[in-house]
Amino acid sequence: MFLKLKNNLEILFFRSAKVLLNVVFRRQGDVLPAHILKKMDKNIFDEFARDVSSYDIPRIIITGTNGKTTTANLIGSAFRISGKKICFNANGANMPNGVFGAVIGCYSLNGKFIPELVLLESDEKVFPYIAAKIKPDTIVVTNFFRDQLDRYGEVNITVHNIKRVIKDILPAAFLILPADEPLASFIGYGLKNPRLYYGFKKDIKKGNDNDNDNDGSLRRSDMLNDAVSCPNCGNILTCEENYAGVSLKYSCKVCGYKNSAPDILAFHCGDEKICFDLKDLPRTFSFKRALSGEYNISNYMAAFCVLKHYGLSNETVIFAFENYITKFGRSYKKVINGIKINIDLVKNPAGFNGVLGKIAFKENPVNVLLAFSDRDADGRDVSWIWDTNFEKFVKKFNRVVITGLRPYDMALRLKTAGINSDNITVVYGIKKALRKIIELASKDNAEVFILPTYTELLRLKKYIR
Amino acid sequence: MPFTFKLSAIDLYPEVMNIYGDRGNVLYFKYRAGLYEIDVNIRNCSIGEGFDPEIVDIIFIGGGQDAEQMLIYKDFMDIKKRLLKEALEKDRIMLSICGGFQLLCDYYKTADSRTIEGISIFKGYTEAKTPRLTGNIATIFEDTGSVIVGFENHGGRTYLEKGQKCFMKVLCGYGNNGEDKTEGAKTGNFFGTYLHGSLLPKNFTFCDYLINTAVKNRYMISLGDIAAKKGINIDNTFEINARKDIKGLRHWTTATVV
Repeated sequence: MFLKLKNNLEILFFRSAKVLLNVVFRRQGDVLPAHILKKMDKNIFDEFARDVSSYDIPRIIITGTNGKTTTANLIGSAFRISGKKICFNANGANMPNGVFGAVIGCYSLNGKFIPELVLLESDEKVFPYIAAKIKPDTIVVTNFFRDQLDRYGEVNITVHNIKRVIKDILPAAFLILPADEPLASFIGYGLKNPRLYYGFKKDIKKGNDNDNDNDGSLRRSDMLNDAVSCPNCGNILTCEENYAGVSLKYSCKVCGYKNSAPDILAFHCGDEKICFDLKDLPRTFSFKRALSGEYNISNYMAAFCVLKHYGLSNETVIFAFENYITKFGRSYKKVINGIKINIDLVKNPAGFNGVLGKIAFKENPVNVLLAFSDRDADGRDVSWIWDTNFEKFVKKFNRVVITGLRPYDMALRLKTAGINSDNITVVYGIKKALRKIIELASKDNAEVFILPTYTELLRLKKYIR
Repeated sequence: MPFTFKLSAIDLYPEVMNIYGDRGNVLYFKYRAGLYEIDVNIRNCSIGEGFDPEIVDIIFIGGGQDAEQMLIYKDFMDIKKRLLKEALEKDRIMLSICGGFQLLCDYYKTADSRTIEGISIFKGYTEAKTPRLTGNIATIFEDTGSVIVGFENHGGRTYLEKGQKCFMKVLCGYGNNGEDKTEGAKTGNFFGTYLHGSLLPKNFTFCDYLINTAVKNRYMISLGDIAAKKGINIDNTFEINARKDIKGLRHWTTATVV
C-alpha cells in the first residue's frame, strides 16, 4: 500500500535473481538478491516492512538461541495444512537479508503482498532490528543460552536488548515464553503484554535424564549454566530442580524473581505420546511425537501456543505435529543401507547436551560421526566443547569418527571424557568420514548419530538427502 | 599399585566463572595426571566456602560474564583474597584465566570509569576497551621455551608494571593489550592468562610443567622420575594434531618444540 514504482522494480529484480539462483545455480536464493538490493537502496527494508505492517494480517516472529527453526516450521506446517498462504523464511536464513528476502519474495510483480500471514524466524542478535521494522503482533522466545561468544558477546546483553525493543512495539505484542528458562521467561517480566507461558509438568522426569544427582536439597545454581545471575537484579539465582536443560524451579532470594506459572504443561503419557495440560481449557491435548529429544517438547509447546492463539483446531494441530517432516539437521532421521541415521546440528553446549540426552535414551551404544569446524558461522572459538557434558554419556558411545577443520580438538575432548582413543578415528573430509561411519555401523549393527556444526551441516547436505 | 601420589585441586566458583570452557583445564589436568598414575581430587569452592592453602596443590579460576563476576566479588575479597595470598607464599600453583586473571591484578577500570580493586598478586591493571580482542593466539613460555596456543576473547587491556613478569611473549595475536607483546602474568607459581581453548589440553607440556611443579612441592619427586619409575609413555597424537589444526598458527605449531 506504500510501495512506489522503485519498489516494484526491486521486486522484479528479486524474483528474477531468485529464479536464476534456483534454476541455474541450484541455490535457495533469498539472501543474495536481498543483499544486493540493500546495497543499492539502503531504505529498502524499511519500505517493505512499512508496507507489510500496513496489511491487517498476523505477523509472528520466533527468536531465541535454540529451537527457532523447529518451532517456526511446526507453526508453518500447521498453518499450511489449515490452508493459509504464508510468508515464511522456512530455510532458516534468519539474518536481515534472509528475513527481508522472504518478505520481498512474497510480493506480486504489481506490488501486492500475497500471503495471509507472516511467520519469521529471527536470529536473536538481529531481533531488535527486525522486530522494530516488522512490528510483530506475536513473539515467541524459545530460550537464551550462550552461543558463539566470539561473535555475539555475552547473553545477558542480548536479553536486555530484546526486552527493550518489545517494550516499544505498539500495539503490545502477544508473548509466548518458556516458564522454565529464566532468561527467556524474563522477557515478559514487568511488561504488560498479554502472554502465555509453557512449561514441563513436575512429574515429567523419567528414565536416566534426571539432572539432579544429589538429594534435591537447596543449592546454588550449578546447573543453570547460562543464567547464574538473576536477570532482574543481578544477584544469584537459586535453582532447585532441573530437567533436560531447563529449570523447573528457580528463584532469586533478593528480588523474588522466579518461574512464572505455566499456562500449558507438558508430560509424557505413554508410548512416544506427549500430553498438554491446559489451564483454561477443559481437556488435555495429546499427540504422538514426530520429533525426539526432550528439548523438542518445548518447541511443540511454543508452536501449540501460537496455533491456538490464532484459533486453529486441535485436529489440524495434531495432524501437523504428528506428520511433521523434520528439517535436515534438526532431529532428522534417515535409513541408509538398513542403518538408522540421526542428524542433529550442534552449535552450543546447551543444544549439544540436549542431543546427548537423546543418545542416553538409547538401549545400545551408538556410533557417532562428529563434524566439528571453526568457520565464522560455527564460532571461531572451539572452547565450548569443554562445557558440554560428554562425561555423563561416555557409556553410550560405541565408535566415533571425527571430521571437520578441528577434529583433533573434539578427539581430545572425548579422550579426556573417558572414551577409549582406540575407538576414535579422525577422517578429514566429510564425504570420506560419512563412508567410514556407515562402514563401521554395518559391522557393529549400531545406530548412527551424525552431529555437525553449522557449516559442516551444509556440506553434509550434499551427500545425504 | 596405581595412585600412590595424590594431588588436591580447587576450582573456584565453577558455576559462575565458566562461560568460555575453562572447566576444560580442570578436567584435563586430572586426566593427564591420571596418565602418570597421580590421583587428583577436585573440589569446587564457591561463595561462602574456604579452602586450606596447606592442603591444596593447585587452584583454578576461569572467566565469567561481566555481570556475574560481580556476584563473586565480595566473597573473593572477603574470603579468597587471604587464602590465595597464603597459597602463593606456600608456593602453591594457581591458573587464572581471563576474568579470573584480572581479579588477581591491582585493579580493573570499567568502561564507565569505575575502579574495581583486585588482590595485587600481579602488579598491573586492566582497562575496559573496545573492540574485543578475539582470535587464535600463539605465544612462547620462555621458562621452558614451549609454544603455547589458545583462543583469546577479551575487552579488557591489561598493562603490567615494569617489575612484573609476564607469563608468555606473544608470537601471533594480541596478548595482554595488543601493544607490548606481553601475555598474562606470573608471580611465583601463580599464572594469569587470557588464553581459552581450553588452555591445558592443547598445551600438554605446560600441563606437565604444572603437574611436575605440584609433585615436586608435595612429594619432592619430579614428574620425569615418576614416569621413568613406572615406565609410563604417553601418546600425545591427539594433542599434537589439535595444535596443528589451528588455522593461522601452523607456522608455530609445526615447530618441534611444543
